Amino acid sequence: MNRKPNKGLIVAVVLVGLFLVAPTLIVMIMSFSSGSTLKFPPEGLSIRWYESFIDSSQWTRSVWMSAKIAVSTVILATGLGTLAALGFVRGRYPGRGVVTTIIVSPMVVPAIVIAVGMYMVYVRWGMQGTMWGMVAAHTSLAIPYVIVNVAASLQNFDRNLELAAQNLGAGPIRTFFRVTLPLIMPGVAAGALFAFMTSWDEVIVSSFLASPQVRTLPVVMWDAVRTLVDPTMAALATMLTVLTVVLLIGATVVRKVGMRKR
Amino acid sequence: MSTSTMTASSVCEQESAPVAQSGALSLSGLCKSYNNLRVVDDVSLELRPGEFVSLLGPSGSGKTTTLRIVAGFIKAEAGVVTLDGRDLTGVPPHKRDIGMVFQNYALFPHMTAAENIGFPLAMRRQPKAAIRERVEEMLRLVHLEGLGNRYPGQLSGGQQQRVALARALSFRPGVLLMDEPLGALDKKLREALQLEIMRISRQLNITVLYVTHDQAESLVLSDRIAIFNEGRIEQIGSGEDLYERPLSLFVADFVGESNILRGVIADNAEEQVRLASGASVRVSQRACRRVGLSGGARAAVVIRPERMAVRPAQGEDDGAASDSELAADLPGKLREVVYLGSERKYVVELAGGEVVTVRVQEGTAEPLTCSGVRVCWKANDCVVVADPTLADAGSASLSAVKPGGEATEGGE
Amino acid sequence: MDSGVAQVQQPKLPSVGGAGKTLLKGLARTRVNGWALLLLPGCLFIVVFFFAPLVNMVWRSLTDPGPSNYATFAETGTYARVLWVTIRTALLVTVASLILGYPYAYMMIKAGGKLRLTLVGLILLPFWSSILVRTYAWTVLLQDTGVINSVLMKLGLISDSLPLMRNDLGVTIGMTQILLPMMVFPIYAVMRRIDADLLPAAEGLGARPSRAFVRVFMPLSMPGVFAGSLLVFVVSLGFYITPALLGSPSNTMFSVIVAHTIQQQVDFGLGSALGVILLVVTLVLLWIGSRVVRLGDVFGYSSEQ
Repeated sequence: MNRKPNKGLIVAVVLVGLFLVAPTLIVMIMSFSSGSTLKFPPEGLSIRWYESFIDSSQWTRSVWMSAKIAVSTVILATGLGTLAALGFVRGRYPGRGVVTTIIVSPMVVPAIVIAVGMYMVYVRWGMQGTMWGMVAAHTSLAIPYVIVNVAASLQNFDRNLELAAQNLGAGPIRTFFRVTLPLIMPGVAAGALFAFMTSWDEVIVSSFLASPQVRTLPVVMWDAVRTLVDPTMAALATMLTVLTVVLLIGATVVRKVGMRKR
Repeated sequence: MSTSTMTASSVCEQESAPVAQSGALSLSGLCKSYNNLRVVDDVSLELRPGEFVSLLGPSGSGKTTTLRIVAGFIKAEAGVVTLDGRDLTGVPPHKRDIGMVFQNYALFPHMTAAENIGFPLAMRRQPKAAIRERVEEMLRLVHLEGLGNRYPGQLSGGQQQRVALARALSFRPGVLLMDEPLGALDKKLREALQLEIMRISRQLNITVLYVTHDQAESLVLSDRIAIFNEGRIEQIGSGEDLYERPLSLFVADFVGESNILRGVIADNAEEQVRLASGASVRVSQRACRRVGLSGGARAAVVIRPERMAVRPAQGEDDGAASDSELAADLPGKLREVVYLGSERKYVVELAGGEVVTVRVQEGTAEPLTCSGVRVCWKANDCVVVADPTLADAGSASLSAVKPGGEATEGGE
Repeated sequence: MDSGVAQVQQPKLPSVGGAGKTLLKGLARTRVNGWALLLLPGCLFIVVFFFAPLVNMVWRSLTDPGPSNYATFAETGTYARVLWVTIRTALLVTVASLILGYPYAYMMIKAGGKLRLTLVGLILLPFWSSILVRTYAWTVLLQDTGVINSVLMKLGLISDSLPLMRNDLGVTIGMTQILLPMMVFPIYAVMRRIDADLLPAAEGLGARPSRAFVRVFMPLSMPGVFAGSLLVFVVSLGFYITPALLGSPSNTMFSVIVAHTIQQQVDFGLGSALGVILLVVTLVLLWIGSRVVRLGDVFGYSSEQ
């Protein structure tokens, strides 16, 4: 692996890179267009579409609703998921395969199938169209991601540290909060981030579980994408992409800083 | 050997140190099996307050498991651990008040050295000022003043080890357990830290139970050594006891270098051991009785290399020396000479095929060059032990110092 | 060994029949420790709020009005065609993302420091962005009045807009870009583990660089290729957002039909049956795939981040 890659490879990779990024970049440019059509290149630059978004109560209400649901999901999923990861890695129990299947399923089943299934049952339970119905649905989708991340952290954890803590006078509970939890925090934080993104971006299940009073941002977007023709959506798309980049960079920085201490 | 000077000086120190009041640890009949394999087999040991006892043995011999039973991490299937008369059965690890240093130190990476050392005090809800004071005291004790604010990742291996030690001692336990704490360090650092551990344990007068597979290390550090073999304690005694008077072939083999000549106790006179070559070796009857051997029993004669003497054979008709103190005077061929600076090592093959090593201090005799030699030793300088192996009596073995010393040589 | 281990002692067995004895012995030997209990809240939550709906869906498909739902699926030509379109699109997407993704993963291996970081960032970013946002970006590009068409028209290369959307082509392009990270990560994970000395060793033994690559490197990267392809294929089968937005209403993919049956036709029984079919196909493919490929590689990306 010590020779320079040949020109063909470089060209191919550049093209693929463009393919990956171009659509998003173009949308970003469009979001600053002063015209009200999706003409490219835009005639002039302005931030009117950002203003239009912020002014629209429909959009801002949905952002608020999404935020409420996402935060609730993060709290619930991280709590349940961290406990489950501990049980999964350290527990001794029969039927490991069954448990693994339960945990992995939400990541593996097609979203439309989940949406349809949940819709039919939640209607009967009176949870369709409610915020807590959404939270329940998002949480069950997010828990597996939390488990995967926390379990990875746990597997790299040196059990001797817990033995040392006990030997030094910390009972099981104090050992967990003073030694184990701080050291698996990176995994827990990563899991929480995944849980947030899962809930924040969730479209299909949320559409089925939505009602006029309870609509998340992706649900409003879903309708708007098929009807709107002005660049408001472009502005929204750009803001969401920037949010993602910030979160991603933030997560990487936090992880690197955490590594330095070890 | 330099260890004898160590022991002498520490004996002098011991006479001036105050007598410890607490820290009497007693293990009695401990047993533990995994998958039907007896890992700890009826282990019993009494430690006096302030005593430094090593658990020495090859890997897998049960010493670490025993240590962990004392710490409370493993439940023994049978047997009792008592500390100052208090039965520790059923007492969880965090209530045992026993200090422990782990093999890889187990320092909390998310806490500074000071926080690590203060951790047990925080667990015992000591006031912050008292904790700070004690932490400073411990840092001084292990010569790490000023480094309290560093994280373990920012400390060298030797420094981490000292933090681990300080942490285990900060709450003044009566007993300290150490699980091969110096294994990860290089030789010079190991030796320096051995001295530190000795100094600190004497200064604090704390009872220490120290697990190691390095017999040189255990000789340096311990008041007594318990030799572990396949889950059982084969022999307990001071370094000198084990070296000069091993009770079994395993102990003779494991501690120090030894020449082992296998044979059978003569039927008619218990003071003779007949080797495969037909030669007879004299042993004292007391030595035989000490290990319970009688006529006809398979035995091994153990002679330390530095107790053997070697001289050139004066031609074919050089008979055995008539010195009545000698146990034997055997002819052999000089196979190898190894120059080691302070001494010379001669590898000699005896008539019966046995290979022995003789160590001679430089300057005490003319170096040998001829191939025909005679090897002899005094009757008081050798030991008889039972020979449990089923190999034929003709095969001799030369065992060498285990890790920490020089390389193995000769056949086994 | 943690002190939380509860060892269940073997009970004194009453003299029951042979089978009963074995069962009791098996139960007694099962050791369940305290940690295992922590699994309960999370698993229960998933079972109640995720599995119950799926079970109900299977039930519904068989009882509303009856198993005839499946007969409807098998006999109606539309569904067969939809299934065919779905499989064909999924295959195209898999192949396309493999062709694009393999060199990209290889470049990630060869690149050093900053360049690798950039490449990783370019792959991670779309992966973390919402699918809806990315699909929207493609609608902007592929529309009749969209970016690509207006640029091409401005440059005078075409006079009429190209139909890039509302057809299989648009769906394939969009899905390929969206699922590309899922192809790259497993391949990258496997490539990483290939000993860097192997290629020079092969060349030292007389192989031309291209030959060495084909005979040594590519075979070793195959597990990653299988894992990535499996993942992309299975996900493509069940994909909804992109086909719904970029596809044609008449020639659509399976998931869209499922949604349509529930939302427009309001036929819960049939919709459930279709959902069950999609689910079963997904699970069967994954199961077969797991026999061929180490599924750890499929989720291998999580250890890289």
